[in-house]
Amino acid sequence: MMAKTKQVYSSISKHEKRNFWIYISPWIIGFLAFTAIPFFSSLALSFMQWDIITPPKWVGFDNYKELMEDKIYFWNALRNTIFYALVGVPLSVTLGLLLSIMLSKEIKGINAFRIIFYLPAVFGGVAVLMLWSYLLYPGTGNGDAGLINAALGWFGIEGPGWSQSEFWSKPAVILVGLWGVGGSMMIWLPALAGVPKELLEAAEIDGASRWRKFWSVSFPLITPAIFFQVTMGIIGSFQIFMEPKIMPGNQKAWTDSLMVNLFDNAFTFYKMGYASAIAWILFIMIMVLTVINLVVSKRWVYYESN
Amino acid sequence: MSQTNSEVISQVQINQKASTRSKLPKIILRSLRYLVLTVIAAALLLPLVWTISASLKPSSEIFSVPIQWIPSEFKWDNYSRVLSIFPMFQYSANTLIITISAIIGQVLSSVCVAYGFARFRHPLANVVFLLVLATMMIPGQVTMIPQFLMFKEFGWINTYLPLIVPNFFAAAINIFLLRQFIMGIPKELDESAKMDGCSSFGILTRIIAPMCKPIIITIMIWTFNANWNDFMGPLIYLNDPDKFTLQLGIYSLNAGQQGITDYGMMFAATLLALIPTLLLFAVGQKYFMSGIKLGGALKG
Repeated sequence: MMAKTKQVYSSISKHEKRNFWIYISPWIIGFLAFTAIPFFSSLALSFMQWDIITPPKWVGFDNYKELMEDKIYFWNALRNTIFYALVGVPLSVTLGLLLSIMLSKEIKGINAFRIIFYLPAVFGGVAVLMLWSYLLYPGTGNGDAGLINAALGWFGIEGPGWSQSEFWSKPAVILVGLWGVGGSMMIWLPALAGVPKELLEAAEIDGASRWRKFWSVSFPLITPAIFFQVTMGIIGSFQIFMEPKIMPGNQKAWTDSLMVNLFDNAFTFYKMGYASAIAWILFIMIMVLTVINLVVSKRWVYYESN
Repeated sequence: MSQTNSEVISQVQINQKASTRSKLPKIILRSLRYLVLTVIAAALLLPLVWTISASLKPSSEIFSVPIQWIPSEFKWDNYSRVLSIFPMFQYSANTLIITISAIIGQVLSSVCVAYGFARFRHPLANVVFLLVLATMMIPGQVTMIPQFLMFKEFGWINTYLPLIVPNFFAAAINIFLLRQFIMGIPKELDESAKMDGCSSFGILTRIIAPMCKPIIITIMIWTFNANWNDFMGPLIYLNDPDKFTLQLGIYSLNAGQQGITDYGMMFAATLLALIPTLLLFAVGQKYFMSGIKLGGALKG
């Protein structure tokens, strides 16, 4: 095997090897300039104190120690961020999958539905988040209210205070993301379409119920997509920034995420070292979670090659 | 949607089987599906309808309950007022400069790099490709601060360069998608072009790139969306209001308007900002929703 590989490699012409490097050179340069060097600089920075104006000073683990003791900003932001991950990710994965299952059958008019469900995901950015801070305008179904509370009023439900309430300000942030959950169709639909029809038919002939067909046939086959969505969801929710920045709760602390914390320290207070330490804590948490996720996935994610 | 004969036959058999069980549940189930879909679709569209209606109302009517869907008087001047006090066109033009440059950069560099990975052998190719995939795991905030310091050193603050230049160095996800696609293109095409005296660069531009069109369009749309909606980048790098992007402009309009409650105008601005995205979606709807298949994609 080894010998064979060697033989294959030695048969590659110098010319071909050179072409390989030439064509991938844009990536190599970008990797060094925008990923590798910044990556290690950021680690080094996290052990320094630097306000950009005066020269940087090596402070060892001081930034990390300071962070660990910062209950008001860091721990609070960490708690909020974990809330976004713990509540937001399962909700968006489940809802996205449910919607996509409903949209997976080729029935009449399905394309129109797919477009409508996908549309909110297309609208991104500041405008939409601002729009949502108005849609979530507190007030009841009887008085001045945003659309959401007015709509809840139609069903006799008294809407919560959303951004005006400590408890509801975080769910408000998550709710906005759920409006765009249709965007995940582009992962779910191909996964669902990839489930072989023959398997489903065979199960049906064996008298399997709808639920049973999904659970025993489709579900195992779409576990790679579920794994992907959970992983990306966790990574995304740890980096949540725009939502808490643009539609913050009445008190900023209610909704602030780690990313907002990082941004404020870096670009408002110019505490580059301290902010880099936050970045590294975020990075390590994301890495640990991804690895745990990866290890656990071996138990439930099904790949056809196995 | 072309079904083979045997598929049709088995479908018929199943239908017969189901219909012998009972006919009613199927009809009920189907109408239930439409009902649920319609209700959700309506709920998803409601915010948009509400905003359109709000953008045409006098401010006093916007939050009144019960909701008045048709404004008592149509305030079209909400729109003209936005355009007169808010440099909508300038901000859009600024954003467009960044977005178009980013698209050009991503497409050129990604196609080139993906071609390198897909068509040229090298003992280190697999290792380097793994490195490409590994970079997808590094979240942006880790590299953000040193990048900022670097661009500051270059004197690029308050220019579009920090938002444009990195796009010319191929994003990992685009390399990945294009490489998969190129590997599916028969190598014989390359070979015959080579026979005709085509250089590797000629093969890339005349054969490979044109065949990658669907993926390239998808990448263009993703890049458009990411840059058009980008908020943090402009927030970090731009501080001259003349250079603001649309997102930053709307943000500052809102931030500067604390206490002033000209909501009708706000909603008009919000809707105007969404129009370009909506237009692009209408045109490229098929590509917008083009999916990623994960199962086979992970196999080299």
